[in-house]
Amino acid sequence: MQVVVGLRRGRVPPVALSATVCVEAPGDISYRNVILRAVAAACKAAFAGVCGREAPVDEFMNHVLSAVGEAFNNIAFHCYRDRSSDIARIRLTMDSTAVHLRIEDYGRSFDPLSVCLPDLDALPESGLGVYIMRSLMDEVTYQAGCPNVLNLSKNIPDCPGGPAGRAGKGATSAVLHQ
Amino acid sequence: MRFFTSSADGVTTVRIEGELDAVTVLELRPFIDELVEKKHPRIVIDLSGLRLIDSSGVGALVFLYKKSKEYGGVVTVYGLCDQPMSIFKLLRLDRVLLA
Repeated sequence: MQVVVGLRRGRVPPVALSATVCVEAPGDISYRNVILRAVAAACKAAFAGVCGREAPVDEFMNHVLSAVGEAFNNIAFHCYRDRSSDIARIRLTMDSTAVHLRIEDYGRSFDPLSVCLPDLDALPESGLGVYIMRSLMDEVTYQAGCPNVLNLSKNIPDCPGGPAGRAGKGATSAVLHQ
Repeated sequence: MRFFTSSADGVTTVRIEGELDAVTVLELRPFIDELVEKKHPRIVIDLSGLRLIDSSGVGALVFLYKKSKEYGGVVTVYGLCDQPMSIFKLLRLDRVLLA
């Protein structure tokens, strides 16, 4: 598993212009928990770096983690079904307006936008993951290929690190291996 | 994920703690099948210690609810908060399952 962190700094420390974190792990369901913990930590760090305050755990984080969890379930159960699992790569980028997640896999294409939304009144037991993902994120796009790319975006609440932090330039980065 | 069960006055209480997701639901599923097989008349699920649930976990609870209803049993949920509550509300399960 590999985690890469990068921050582009704004002029007023400690606010950053943007933050990027990459998490890479086998697309096997047994890695779900560690993936979510890594994304949660990345999201908190990025939020603090960009917005200069803690992420609103009660809603924003829950939505992001729920969506990423469902996306990873799809990779493990659909994209890598009946074949040895390859890599799942999650690139989280946050700026002053939104968090963007680019989720890549090298398995069978599974377009969540092609799935019919469930009839909730019928109390379905399956097919809920895509609905959760699409409902909790503000934008969902999918591009089949090698890799398949799922893009999820969610707007963040007002971030004081926005326009004021955009004037400066510069970069810091770190690479962490686990 | 951990779960505990107790019975009193015809009510079976199941407390589920931690994370109920695509991985951990596999541990819970045999127990749910057993509850359905034994046709417990009233099942109360305590989720006050649940931190996270995903669509797989929800699917298992809905399965229990629907199967119990088939034999006239009643399943209710209480103690939801944070992420599990937001998922239940999103899926409109709070109207059906919440005590």
